[in-house]
Amino acid sequence: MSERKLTTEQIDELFEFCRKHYVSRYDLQIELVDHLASSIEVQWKSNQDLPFSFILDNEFKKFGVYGFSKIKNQKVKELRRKYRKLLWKHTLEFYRWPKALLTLALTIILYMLFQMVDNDFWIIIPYYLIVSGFMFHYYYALFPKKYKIKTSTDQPFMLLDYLKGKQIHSLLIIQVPLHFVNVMKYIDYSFLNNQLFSIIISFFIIGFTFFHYVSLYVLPLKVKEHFTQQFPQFIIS
Amino acid sequence: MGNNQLYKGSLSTIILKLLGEKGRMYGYQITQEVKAISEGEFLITEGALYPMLHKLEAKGLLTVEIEMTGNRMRKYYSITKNGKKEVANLMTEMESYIRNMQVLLNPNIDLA
Repeated sequence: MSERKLTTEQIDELFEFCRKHYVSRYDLQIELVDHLASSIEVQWKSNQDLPFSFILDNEFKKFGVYGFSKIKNQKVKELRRKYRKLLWKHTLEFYRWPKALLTLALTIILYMLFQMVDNDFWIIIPYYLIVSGFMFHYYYALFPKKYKIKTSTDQPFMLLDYLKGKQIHSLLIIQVPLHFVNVMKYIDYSFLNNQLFSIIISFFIIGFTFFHYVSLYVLPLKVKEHFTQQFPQFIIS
Repeated sequence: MGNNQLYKGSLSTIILKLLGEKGRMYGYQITQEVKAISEGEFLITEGALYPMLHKLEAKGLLTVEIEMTGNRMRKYYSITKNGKKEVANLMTEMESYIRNMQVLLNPNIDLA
């Protein structure tokens, strides 16, 4: 007697089962569907007459009281941890040889500018305008052309959630210097005239800039690389 | 069935060792292989297996390939070079642990 295998309709039912149990991301659904399907087919080897839904319910119980949520939450956590580590790794490269030279040069230039101008808004406002300009360009032109991945399915992937987050992140960055300027209105910022604080602020601004450069320009390329490696069959462009 | 608590802390070692020896495997296959090797003594639960696989993948100790098999896609895990180094370290730690436990629990044993 030939082995009983799941039909395409039953595979679709398993995907729907995952969606009903709050797994909406296709990359995780693939793994869970295959697991459930494999275990059902193994059980059919000993008894082909066992109903599909009966075995499915029993197999789902093996995932425990939390069902798929522990697996889903852990995967999200691991992805975030992975990319956070990459983010810090690439940012810290700007504080190691040879990029540390660039960091030092930019910090010194910014510090000297703070010392030269009477009103520090002449530095902060242009910085804000330049950053905003880059972010609008990133959001509307660069991201859709260079970082966005078009897939052959409209199913959402967990890996691509991270990329989408970066696009929105670019618009949030514009607001940071704005809030900084608002705060400056209410505090006595004469401390900027203090050399030590000028150095600290210059160091912070340069660090902030590199951090977001890595977050928006370097990391999305890594994510795209990982997605291409794992799911080449889904990529259109 | 043995005390699962004793096996729980060794799950990453078990997975890495298995993939190092058997080559690429998929999730369900790993659970069945461990069950067969331990003669039913150790059952990896799905709630423990997949979080561990994802953790090892995120750490770069495992790599994945997605392939079509029959009428569905399957995710295969393979050990990376870093994974092989890690399993060698874990095995050394495990051997040292077993030796020390034997001494602690039975001080009369001469392990020389």
